[in-house]
Amino acid sequence: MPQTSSTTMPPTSSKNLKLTPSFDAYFTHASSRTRTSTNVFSQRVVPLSPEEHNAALARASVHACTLQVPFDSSSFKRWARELDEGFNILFYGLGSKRGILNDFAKHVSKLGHVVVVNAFHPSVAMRDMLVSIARVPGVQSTSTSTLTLERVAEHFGNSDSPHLFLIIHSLDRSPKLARAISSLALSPHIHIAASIDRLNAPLLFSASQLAARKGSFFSSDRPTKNVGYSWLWHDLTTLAPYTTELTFADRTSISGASSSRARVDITNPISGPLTETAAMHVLAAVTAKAKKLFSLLAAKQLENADSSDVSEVNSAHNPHDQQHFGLTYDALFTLARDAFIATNDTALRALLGEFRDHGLVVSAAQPGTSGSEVLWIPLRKERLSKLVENLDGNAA
Amino acid sequence: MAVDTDLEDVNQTTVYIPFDDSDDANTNGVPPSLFPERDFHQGCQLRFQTCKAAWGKCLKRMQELIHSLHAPVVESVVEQVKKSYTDELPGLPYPELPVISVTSSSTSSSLFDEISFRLEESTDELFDDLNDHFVTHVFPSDCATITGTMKTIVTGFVSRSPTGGQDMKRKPSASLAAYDIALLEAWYRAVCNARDDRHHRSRLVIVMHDFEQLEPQVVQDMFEICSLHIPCLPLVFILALASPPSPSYIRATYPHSMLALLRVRDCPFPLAEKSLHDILLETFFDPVFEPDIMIGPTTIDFVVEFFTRHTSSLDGLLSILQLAHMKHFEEPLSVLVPAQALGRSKDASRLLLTPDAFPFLDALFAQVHRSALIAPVEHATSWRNATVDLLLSSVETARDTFRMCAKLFRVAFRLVLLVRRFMLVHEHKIVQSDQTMPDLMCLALRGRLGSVYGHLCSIVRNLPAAQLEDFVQEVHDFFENVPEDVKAEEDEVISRVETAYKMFCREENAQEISDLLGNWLSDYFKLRIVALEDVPLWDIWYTGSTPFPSELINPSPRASILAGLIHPQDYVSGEQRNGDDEDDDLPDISILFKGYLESAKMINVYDWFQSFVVFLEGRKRRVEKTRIPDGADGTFRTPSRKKGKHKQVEDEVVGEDAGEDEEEWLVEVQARFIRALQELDYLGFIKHTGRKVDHVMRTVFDSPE
Repeated sequence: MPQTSSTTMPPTSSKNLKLTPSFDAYFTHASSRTRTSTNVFSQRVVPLSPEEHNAALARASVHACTLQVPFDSSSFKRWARELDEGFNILFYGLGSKRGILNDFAKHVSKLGHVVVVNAFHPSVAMRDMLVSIARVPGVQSTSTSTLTLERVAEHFGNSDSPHLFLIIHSLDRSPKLARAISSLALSPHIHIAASIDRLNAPLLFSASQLAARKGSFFSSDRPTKNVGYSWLWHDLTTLAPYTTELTFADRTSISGASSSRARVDITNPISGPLTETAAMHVLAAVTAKAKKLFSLLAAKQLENADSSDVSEVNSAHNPHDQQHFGLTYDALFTLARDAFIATNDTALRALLGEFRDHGLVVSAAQPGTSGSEVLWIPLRKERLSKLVENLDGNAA
Repeated sequence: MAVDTDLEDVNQTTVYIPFDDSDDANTNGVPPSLFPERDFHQGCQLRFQTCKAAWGKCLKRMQELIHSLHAPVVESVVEQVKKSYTDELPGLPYPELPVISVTSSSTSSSLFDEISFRLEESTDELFDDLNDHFVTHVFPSDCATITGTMKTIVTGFVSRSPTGGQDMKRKPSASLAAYDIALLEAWYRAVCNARDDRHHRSRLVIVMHDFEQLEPQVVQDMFEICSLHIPCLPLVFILALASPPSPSYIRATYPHSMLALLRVRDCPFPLAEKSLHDILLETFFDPVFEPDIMIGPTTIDFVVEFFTRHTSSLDGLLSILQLAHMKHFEEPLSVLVPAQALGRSKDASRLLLTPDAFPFLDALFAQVHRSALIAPVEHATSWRNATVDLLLSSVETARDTFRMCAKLFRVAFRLVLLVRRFMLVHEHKIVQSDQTMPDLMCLALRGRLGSVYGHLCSIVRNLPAAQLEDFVQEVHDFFENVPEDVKAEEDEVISRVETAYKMFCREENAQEISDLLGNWLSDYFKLRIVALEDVPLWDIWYTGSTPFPSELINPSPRASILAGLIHPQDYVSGEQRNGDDEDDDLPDISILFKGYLESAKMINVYDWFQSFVVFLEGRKRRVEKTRIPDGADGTFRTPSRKKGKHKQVEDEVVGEDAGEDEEEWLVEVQARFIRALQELDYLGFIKHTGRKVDHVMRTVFDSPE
């Protein structure tokens, strides 16, 4: 079969491409051995700090090619009408749809109350949405009990209730939220406009939920108990970069976008990943002894990392996997005593306390042993060595 | 405005915007016309109302039909619930848990609303006892664990006050746990006491939606717990199944030991496809019911395809038809669907004689002109004094013509079906007897039913005498039942059938009668079953062959994302496209995706990065070649967006600046790579398997042709 590269193909006029069956391609790929080089990205490329990253992107924005799909805001009225006809709208297609949907939210705020949900936010929860809905006058009953989905559905099921518009960005990032809104979506006075980004997001919805409709056949005054979505699908390809949606991704890791949710759950949700600058700030504020302790721990950690299998060093997708190279508390105590940093347990704990509070040193029970604690600095090797260099330079 | 800043703030998980009803300038939610070149200002609003009315009429009809489809099922479910615990087999070692399985694949889930309404309100007049049962609904999302399931069931009932008064608060400390079935038992005792119901007539009905999606292990545990508490807790389960009654999902999934606890009764719903055909037939091809607009063959085709291939749900059918209505009323002329749409003739002329409405009038005039409503000769002379009244009255004429044509069409179509059914019942061989009802509808609407009725009429001509009598009787009865105005219009064929009927009474030669009858029917069908597109101004009342906007219901998000990645330029309008080499304006994510498509199953991120760097450097060189040097200072700058006219050899000032610049450039490329990579990750194109260091796996193997 002659190979035609896509560059020589004439531009197709149709937006929907014809694709060869993907299972054929899958088996072709699966049957052959994958030949890739042995280069390891994280070893050969030093990850950028968030500041460097943002600065670089700001520079890049001038000459990186960004296409803009023309958008006409007269569609808003059309969408509003579709919502009014009893459908909910789901937007799909490549590119961030946040800007347009936010504008749409402002548009529909003239028709009813609006709650905008950023479902791409790692810590979004049902409760947040309910708290916002509770700000609609009249929803929250006089009692102080918390608002439930049933109560919301019941309130907006009344024919004289105001309209509520739920605008949900990246609904597919939070399947829990998607399930929760299925019990609101068929309420006659609740209208939902949501966006999805993932390739397989349609799998979130079952066929019967997709087909469900607002309003009961049988009597219009009784609220329906059904769940479903009643989506109308709209292709809203904007080609805009997912800057906002990826705000919470770890830019230093190649898997930063997919592990962002898990990462935020384990560490302190406020701080995010530890950066070099943050570490420098903390180190500038502590005593010389504490600084010495830090460089001691860092040196040992680097030593451990060097001695272990090269390929393992940075395979770690998140800083917590640096735990392998950490030191047990007892070992650290011995070292600290030998270096005259801390002569007793209390003093060492006091020194470590400051670092722990700022997330510079993390500890966990060592797996396999009972009770012994392991301490490490949640920074990747390159950053840590840079930091240590700086520290030593300043000290000198 | 505070809302703006809130909306942009990514740290907020939710933002509330209060209802702003201050200015009502833009609030009337009428979207602008799609065809402003032939529309008028109030047109949109009027069409919007007309659409609502037309769809409301159609919806009401279909709801009645669906309701009547539901009725027997609802009736039998209610009957089963009533009979549970009273009509039991004697001599069982233990009581069985009554379970009613309802196969509801075709219907909408509002069937269960109806059932629960009937159960909760049902009063048996005869024995004068208030028999209201309690119903609670359980959805698969509530049932991940057995605790959750039991909690849903128990709180579903217990949240109601036993005395029927206001909700009462239970103190958590003084109460049993919410998942404890003993709590339900206590509550039920309180209910019986409050109602003075010594015979425990109220049943506790649990409707389990989407039963197939529930975890079998959880369901098994739940049934076992519940069966320990009957009959003092009269629980009845209604299972909503989407799978067909045989092979039975319940019997295939659950072990015998559990099934032995249950007493399963089936309440099957009529066959999905048959209900669809009936509803279409009774809504759009009924001699009595007249929908405001007639749907065309493309819409019918889509309905059938969606129903058979995707979801056989009547809800889906309603949505599709609603969309067909909404689409039809985008057309400006559709404002003329109802009689006197623009009010009385005086109002109408005032409305249409504004400069604003001239494009609309123009379009209307052109349409009327094109149709044969005004004789060409007469038109040539009289168009000067044509008034709006005249125009509108010719539209009125067209409306009456269309209505009558459509009506006669429907009657004739029903007669074809009747003849066809008669022949099938009497085991005559019919060519293409596998044609379904929608097939026939589409053929008829396209005016291509000729071969079908031609064939049927030829069978009529050869009918044996015994069957002929029945046949004539049936056709005669058929015309007896058509509306009066149809009778008046069809007097010719009716009198002919009458003649045939009388000839029978006079016992004339059967062959002669059948020959005549066959020919008459053939003439009749030929006259009436014609494409509705032949009627003047048909496109006001008939959707015809306009394609259905199927992507609203059945989209292809995957293809859309791939198209966006592979050919982003197609989405951008013409002005922004500049370039003979289309690679030069690919966004980063598309460049990266190119590499993705060319690679094998696993991708080494470093290799991918290198290819990205090479690509960008190639592009950078190309841009630099066409660049103008930057004035006198001649310092090296990052590739500028200015495109030069002169070709210039790269200047020799490659000092320290360039080195620094090179580093900056690399950092930039890296940042862009990471961003694009994470965007692909965000879209779900990458799987991090961890099997090989810094390798990712492809999830998409589609390859563009």
